[in-house]
Amino acid sequence: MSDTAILQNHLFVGAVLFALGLIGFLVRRNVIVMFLCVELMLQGVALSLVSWSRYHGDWGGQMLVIFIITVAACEAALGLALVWIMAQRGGSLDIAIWQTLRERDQAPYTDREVPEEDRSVEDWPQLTPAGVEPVHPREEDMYRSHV
Amino acid sequence: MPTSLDMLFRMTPEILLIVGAVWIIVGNAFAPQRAGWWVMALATVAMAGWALAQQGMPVVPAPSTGGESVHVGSADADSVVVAGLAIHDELAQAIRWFAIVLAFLLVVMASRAGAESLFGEQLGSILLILAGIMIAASATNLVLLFLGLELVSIPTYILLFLGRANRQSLEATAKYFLLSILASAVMLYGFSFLYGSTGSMDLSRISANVREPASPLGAGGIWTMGMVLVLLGLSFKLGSFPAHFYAPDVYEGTTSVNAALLAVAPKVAGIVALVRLFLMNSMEVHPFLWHMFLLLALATMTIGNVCALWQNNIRRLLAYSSIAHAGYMLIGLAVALAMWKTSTGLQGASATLFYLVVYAIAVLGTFAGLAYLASARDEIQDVEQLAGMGRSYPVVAGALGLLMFSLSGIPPLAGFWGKLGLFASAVEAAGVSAAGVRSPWFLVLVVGGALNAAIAAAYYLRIVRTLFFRSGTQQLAPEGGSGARNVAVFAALLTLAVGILPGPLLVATRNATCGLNRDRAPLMVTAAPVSSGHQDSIVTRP
Amino acid sequence: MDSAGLPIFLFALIALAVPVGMIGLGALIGPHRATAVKRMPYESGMDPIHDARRRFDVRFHLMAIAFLVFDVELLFLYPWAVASRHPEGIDRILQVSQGLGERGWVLGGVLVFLALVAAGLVYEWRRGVLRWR
Repeated sequence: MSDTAILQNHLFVGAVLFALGLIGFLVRRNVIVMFLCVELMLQGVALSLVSWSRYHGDWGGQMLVIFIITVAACEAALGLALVWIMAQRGGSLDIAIWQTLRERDQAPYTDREVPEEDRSVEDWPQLTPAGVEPVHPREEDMYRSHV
Repeated sequence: MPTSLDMLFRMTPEILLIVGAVWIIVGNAFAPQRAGWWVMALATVAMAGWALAQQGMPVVPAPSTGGESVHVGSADADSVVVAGLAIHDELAQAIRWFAIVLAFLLVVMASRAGAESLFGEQLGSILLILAGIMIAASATNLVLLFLGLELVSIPTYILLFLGRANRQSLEATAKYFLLSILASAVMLYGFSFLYGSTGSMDLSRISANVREPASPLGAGGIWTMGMVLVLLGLSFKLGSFPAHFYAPDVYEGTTSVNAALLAVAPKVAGIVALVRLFLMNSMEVHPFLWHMFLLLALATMTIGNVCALWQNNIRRLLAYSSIAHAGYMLIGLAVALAMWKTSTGLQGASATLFYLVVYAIAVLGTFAGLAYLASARDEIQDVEQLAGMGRSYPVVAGALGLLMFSLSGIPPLAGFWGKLGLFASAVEAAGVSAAGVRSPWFLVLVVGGALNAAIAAAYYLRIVRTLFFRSGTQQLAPEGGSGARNVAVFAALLTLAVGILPGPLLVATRNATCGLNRDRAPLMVTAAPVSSGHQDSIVTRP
Repeated sequence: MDSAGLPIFLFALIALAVPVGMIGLGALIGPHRATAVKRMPYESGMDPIHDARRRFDVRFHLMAIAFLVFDVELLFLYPWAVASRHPEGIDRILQVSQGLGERGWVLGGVLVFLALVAAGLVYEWRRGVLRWR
């Protein structure tokens, strides 16, 4: 395979890694997964830097990759500490519980509205006759209590 | 000229700052005491300033002597990497001096910030951030530039951690941290494209390759893509349009000292990186870049000012105003990119630097005033909380009022000269249609800028009105420490002084940028023959 | 035995003697108080036989962070080790910089780096990260 073809393949893989990381960062809500997605992006960058470095026969790209890995490790150390504190304080890894800081008249983001309870109808619980399977409450499937 | 030792000598201020920071951080774990380490930090900054003074001003000669050879260290193929990582030209020296001043102000301001047992970490992080700015300012290599920018961001995460131990602070930290690492990943992807299109990490070689592409990759789509991605990543640091949204939340959640740092340090580093990357990667080839800058400037100022108008929370208001100021600075860079060959371009770049200095001092003073007025438990959040301050605390309120006038650009103050310089350069750019640049766009920019300045005056004056002409409903107990108050007053006096006598600062910023324009020839590094071993490298400017 | 083989032989000898000596000395003079925990196959303080999905002690978290940073710092020693003896590497720079052709500078540089890392270790020790609370 020619040099250019190898370069193209490597760059393609790098771009795919970068794009996967970016998409993951944007769509996932678990803090750890978001952090890992950024790391995935950095790996994509590192791969394309190394392949360019090989293509040009220059050491600069590999030098940058070493520093990227170092900086990523520092960020990982800080990020893990941050995740730990966030999980302790918030009780969940869901990023959506952190929305105290926002514009004053902006409504908080909610997953899906819990349907309003109909207070007009007095809905007393009834005991099921023995031997009959109770009806499964459908609303509980709609509301997502954890991520 | 011995390369490694010479480079060590040139980097002494940064080395001193870093060693001092490590000493303070480790030492504080052994002997936690506030006053001692505070004095130590001030001494470190003073020593770094002294070391910087030893170097004198630029290594690179003045433009009038163009055409001869200049020694910039050893230059056979590999050792260029070592010797040529940093350049200490007029711009770098000016920004390094500015960083020393900022370090001094920030350390004074933080005299009572944070918990006693973690005070060393606080001071050490501030020193590291300023060392990062100095490194980013003198980098001519993508690797060193990246390291400098990261040395600005990583201690910032720690500082945000060390803020108040409440939920808001933690949320602000998380938001800043996640978005910041995303932005650096995007910027690095841009770096990889820049590297790929030219095959070198050296900025001068990248620009040379763009001007006269050696390979088909030289100035094509790969380079363009790299530039766009880098701009996207840096706009997070600047707090400008595509990545501005984090600023209000983070400023609201964190302490005033941290907010001051966030409003100043990444902006200085980002502007310098933009100047290095974009102005040195000359513009004649690609007009799309100044189009992009122009649109970003318009969008950034408008968004910042219009959103600030509706704010009742002073921290969010200041955050939006800092976004708007980033937009003003982009005006100057757009002018500089469009007309680099002419003196107008130079004027745009120097106006940007002038504005940066004036803005940084003013915003530092503002947040210092807020830090002073805050109680030990809570920061000041609502504008209403400032009501009646003019009577209870006339000195700090007066300083805050003066800084608000300066930020809005009222004539006898420094901010006026900053805005005047930027708009004048844009007007001039609109007038020079002969240069082949479509001038109407700059007229749009000037009109937009003027409208924005008018909008901005509204909300700055509202703060001044609240300070002086409203009676206070609640008593504040200022517990921010005298350091913060002194910084606020000092910044106000400095703003007044520069407003009355803008000459020296104008000359200084002008000199700082003139090194960039040196007849626009790239630094061509010619390799000395390997056999001659001991020969120094020679850098020629045709 | 020729002179080229001697260093290798000595090295092998020392490599054999050190672990044998350590284990032997430990067995000879160390105190022996076997408990149920000590007799387990060692796995970093965790009970080795359990469900794979079990949560583990959060105190490992600090160790992980410390390890992560120091592990990556090691990354810089490889380029240094390669460049320090390479004719195109640091040697060349020392040649070019007149009057500084001392090998000591090469070692000194990396020692400064290691001192910075060691400062981090001292900080961690002092802050009690290494203590198992």
